Amino acid sequence: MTDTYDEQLLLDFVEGELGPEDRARVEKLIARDERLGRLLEDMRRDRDTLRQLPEPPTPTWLMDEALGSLERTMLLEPSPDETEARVNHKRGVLRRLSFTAAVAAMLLLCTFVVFQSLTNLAGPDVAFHSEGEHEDSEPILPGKGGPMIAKSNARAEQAPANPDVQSDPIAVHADRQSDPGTTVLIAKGGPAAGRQEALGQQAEPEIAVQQRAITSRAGTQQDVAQVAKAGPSAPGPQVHQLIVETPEQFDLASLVNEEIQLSPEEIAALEVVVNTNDVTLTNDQLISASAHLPQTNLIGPLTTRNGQKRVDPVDAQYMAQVSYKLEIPTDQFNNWVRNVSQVERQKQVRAGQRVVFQRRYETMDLARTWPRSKPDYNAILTEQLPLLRKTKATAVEQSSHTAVQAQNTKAAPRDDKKQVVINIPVYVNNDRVQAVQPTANRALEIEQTDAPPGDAPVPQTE
Amino acid sequence: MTAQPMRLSIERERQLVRQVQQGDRGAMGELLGAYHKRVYHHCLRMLGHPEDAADITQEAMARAIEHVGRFTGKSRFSTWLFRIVVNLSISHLRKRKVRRATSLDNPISGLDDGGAVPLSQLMADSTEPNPADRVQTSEQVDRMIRTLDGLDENLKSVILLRDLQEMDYREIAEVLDLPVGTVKSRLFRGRLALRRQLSRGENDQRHHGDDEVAAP
Repeated sequence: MTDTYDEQLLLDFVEGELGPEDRARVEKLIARDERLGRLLEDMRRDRDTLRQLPEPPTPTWLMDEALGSLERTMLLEPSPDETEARVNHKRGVLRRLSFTAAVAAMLLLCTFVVFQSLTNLAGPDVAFHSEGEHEDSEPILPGKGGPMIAKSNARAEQAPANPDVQSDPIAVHADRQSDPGTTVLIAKGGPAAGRQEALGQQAEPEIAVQQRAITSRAGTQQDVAQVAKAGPSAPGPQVHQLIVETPEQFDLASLVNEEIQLSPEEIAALEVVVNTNDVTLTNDQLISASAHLPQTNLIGPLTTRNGQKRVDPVDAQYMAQVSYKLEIPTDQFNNWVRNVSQVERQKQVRAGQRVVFQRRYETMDLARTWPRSKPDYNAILTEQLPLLRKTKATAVEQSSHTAVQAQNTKAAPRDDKKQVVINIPVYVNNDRVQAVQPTANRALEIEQTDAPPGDAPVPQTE
Repeated sequence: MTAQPMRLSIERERQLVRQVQQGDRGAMGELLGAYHKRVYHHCLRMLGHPEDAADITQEAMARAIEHVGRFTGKSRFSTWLFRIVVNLSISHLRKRKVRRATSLDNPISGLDDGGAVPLSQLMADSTEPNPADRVQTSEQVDRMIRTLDGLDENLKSVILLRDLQEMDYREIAEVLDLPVGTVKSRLFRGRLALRRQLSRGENDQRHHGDDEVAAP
């Protein structure tokens, strides 16, 4: 007998999950065929046997291994709390690092600012000026309209940034590396002004005396008389001293302990002026000092372009100031200053702007040194030769000083009130003419009767 | 004779699962401690070899520890754990089947049959049970274990999950990732196959006994 049964119904009967109705259906089937009943009963017994299978002994190492694996995992993998703690720790570290970096940056900035301020306050007694406009402009004779380098011990005063300063015949140049106590005054003027002076003519009142208050190192203020336009209401001849302190205060020896880094451009524009009483000795000493710096190209005032150095004893007799054009590597500048200072000892060594040109009245040998390519200043100055020779002879006879008084004798009938008398040593080299700062015993004096213009400051009266 | 393994209550299991999800690996240890004997028992009945059972149990617990972060808690932890165990066991059996010869002459699959099962043969084999057979002896247990060993792994998995782990159809369906109807079908066929093997054994033993009686 082959029959077909619903397995779902039979399974539920074996599992004991049938309801009363289905159970009755199955019991009817079992009653009809008792073999089915025996089979279902065997299946129930098998089920019970399976459910009552004894639990085998479990190896103890199984759980140990599992716990060991769990411990390793716990050690290797941080828990979420630990992860969060680590993240927070990292964030804290980053915050601290950021804060520290910010504080360090602020400190560095403050240090830099303070250092800059201190550097500017205690700057060197050196004024550096670019060659700029005077270098390429026509030579200008010193005087009212000519280029003039003066120096004071007053605190440097920054030239106003307004354009009016450029038009001012007197410009105050205080380089950022200059000593605050050093003010270099460069009297600007057109070639015509210098030419007029060279011709001995009465200069037009282009130059007046301008008074500016400049703070000295000690914090006090000193009035520095500067050349400016003279006003028509000046009561009478006045003498204005441009140099208010002796040049020794500008000794470059004070720079020895300061590290000065000059760019090649600044080096190229640098001229060192040495005040000495024995130019021959000084020249030799400077050459000797520079010999220790092989890369330094020292060109003395009487040195030819090919580097051959010589000193004219005749010239040396009258030369109290010597200008040297230097080509010094930037990193050797301080060494050079140190060497020169050791050579010169008490002498003044001053670095300043490369001169525009120099003029040397004493030698009178203008034909030998005057540049041919320049305007005919030779002819201009030749007209002054008799006067200059006479002045020199007088000076030699008196042997009192080396100052030369240059007077414009060829000027047209001039108004005494506008007469300007300049006592200034001026040197001439083979290419440029410059009004050089006088030494202490040769204070630059300007006599003039003109009063400054109404809008100009009251001139300093000595 | 039967020693039921310690079982966690549903609430306790959920509590431990929450602790595990919060990173408390100690709770994971407690869960494994509660289930490792059941797992080993299942593997032993599934694989029929203590060493293989231990290896699979160890592997299953290691995987559970490794991947407990993926357990979302939507099902019971035991369900998730036995899914790992069954998959590992079936894979192990399939690998082992390739290596060894079939020990049984006619293993019953029954999977390719239709919804209804011809029971004529089984009913013909069924005999009036001996009253002594109604008492469960160690010999019956051993015979059951040996019979289980020769059963198809898919049928055996369902039977073991149902009888050893006492899971309902839904849980078995979750573990095996099968529909509940398929689970019931496999369970019935598995019980029939098991019964057939047991009946054959019983008949062989009975015939062997008759021969011994007739021999003198």
